Amino acid sequence: MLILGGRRGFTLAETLLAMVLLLMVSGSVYRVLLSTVRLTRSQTEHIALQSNVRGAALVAGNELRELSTAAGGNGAQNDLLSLGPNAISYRAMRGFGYTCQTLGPGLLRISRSAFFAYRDPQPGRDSALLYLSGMPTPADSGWITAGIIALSSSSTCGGGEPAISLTLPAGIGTVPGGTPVRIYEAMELAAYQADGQWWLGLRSLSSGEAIQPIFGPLATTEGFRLAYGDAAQMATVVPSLIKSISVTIRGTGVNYDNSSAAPLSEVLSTQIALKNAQY
Amino acid sequence: MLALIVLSVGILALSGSSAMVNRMIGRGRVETHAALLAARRVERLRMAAASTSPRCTSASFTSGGPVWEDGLRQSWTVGPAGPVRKVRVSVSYLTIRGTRSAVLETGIPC
Repeated sequence: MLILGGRRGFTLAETLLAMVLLLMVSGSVYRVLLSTVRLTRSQTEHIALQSNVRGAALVAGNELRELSTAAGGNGAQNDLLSLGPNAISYRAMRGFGYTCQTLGPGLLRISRSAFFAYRDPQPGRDSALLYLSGMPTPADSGWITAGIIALSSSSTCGGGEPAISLTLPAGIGTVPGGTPVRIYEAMELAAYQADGQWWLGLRSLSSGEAIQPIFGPLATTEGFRLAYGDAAQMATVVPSLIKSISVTIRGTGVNYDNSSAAPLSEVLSTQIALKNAQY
Repeated sequence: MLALIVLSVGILALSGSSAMVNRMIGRGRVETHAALLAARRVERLRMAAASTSPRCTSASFTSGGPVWEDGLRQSWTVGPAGPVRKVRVSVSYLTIRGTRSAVLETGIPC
C-alpha cells in the first residue's frame, strides 16, 4: 500500500480487484433474485390454480348435493330441469318452512320461527313447492309447484308471531296450515366461453340474468364435465333415474417454469350422491 | 468476508424456503386429491347403503380395499351392525418423508 504524506489509501489494482469481486457477487445475487422471482410467480400460479379448481369442485358439490329426483316422477318431483355434459339446470333450494294458517286460495303464511332460508323469497324470481294431500290424485299426496306473485315480510301468524305471506296463483286452491313449503330458484351451472377463455359460470334462470363466472379459467376441452349415474352407478340421462352426479373440473394456468411448454393443468373429480340416493 | 458470509446465509435461506414452499404446494395438492377421493368413497358407500330395503344389506356396503385410484391407495372399513354404521376411509400417499394418510370418518344411518 502506498503512503503519501501520512495519508492511507488504495492502489488502482486493489480498487479494480474489489470492483471485479463486487460485480461477480452482485451478478450472482441478481441471478438468484431473478430465479426467486420466477419461482415465486410459478408457485403463486400453482397455488391459484389449485385453489381455483378446489373451490369449483366444492361449489359444484354443494350446489348439487341437495337435489333430488323420484323414479318415474313428474316435473314437480325432479329437481333436475335439464342435463348436459357441461351444463346443468336445477332447482336450487332457497328456503323451507311450514304454513301457520289456512287462508284464501293461493295465499300462504309461513311462520318466521319455522322458516329456514338462505334469504327471503323474491316474487318473480322464486317459486314454491307445496306438499299437498289429494295431489296428483285424490288418494295421493304430492308436490305441486307455483310461482310466487307477491310477498309481504311483515305479517303475523294467528298467535302473533312474525311471518312471511306469499301470494301464489289462486288456481292452486286453499292451502291448509302445516303444509310443507319449499322455496326454490331455477339455476344453471355451466361452462361457458368469454374473452377467449372458458369459465365455470352460474346464473339464475328464473330471473333471466346473464351467466357470471365463479371459477376459471378452465381447460379448453373438458374443463367442466358432468356424468350422471343411476342406482347401480351406471350412466343414464333420464332425470328421474339419476342418483349421483360425477363432476370433473380441469383448470388451467400460465406455465412460468417454461413458457414454451404446455400451460399448467390441474384436475379434480368428485362424486355427489343426490338426496334421493341417501335416504 | 463477513458480508459475503451473511449474504450466502441469506441466499441459502431463501432457496431453502422456496423448496419448502414447493413441497407444501405439492402436499396441498395431494391432500386435496386424497380428501376428494375419500369423500367419493363415502358417497358410494352411502348410495350402496340406501340401495336396498332394508337398508345396509347390499354386498357393496362392506369394508374393502386396498384399491389404487389416481395414484393413491385407499381402504375403508364399515362398522358392525347398528342404527348408524361408522365408516372410516383411509387414503395413503407417499411423501418425501414416507407414507402419510388422510382419514375421513362418518356415520351412515341404517
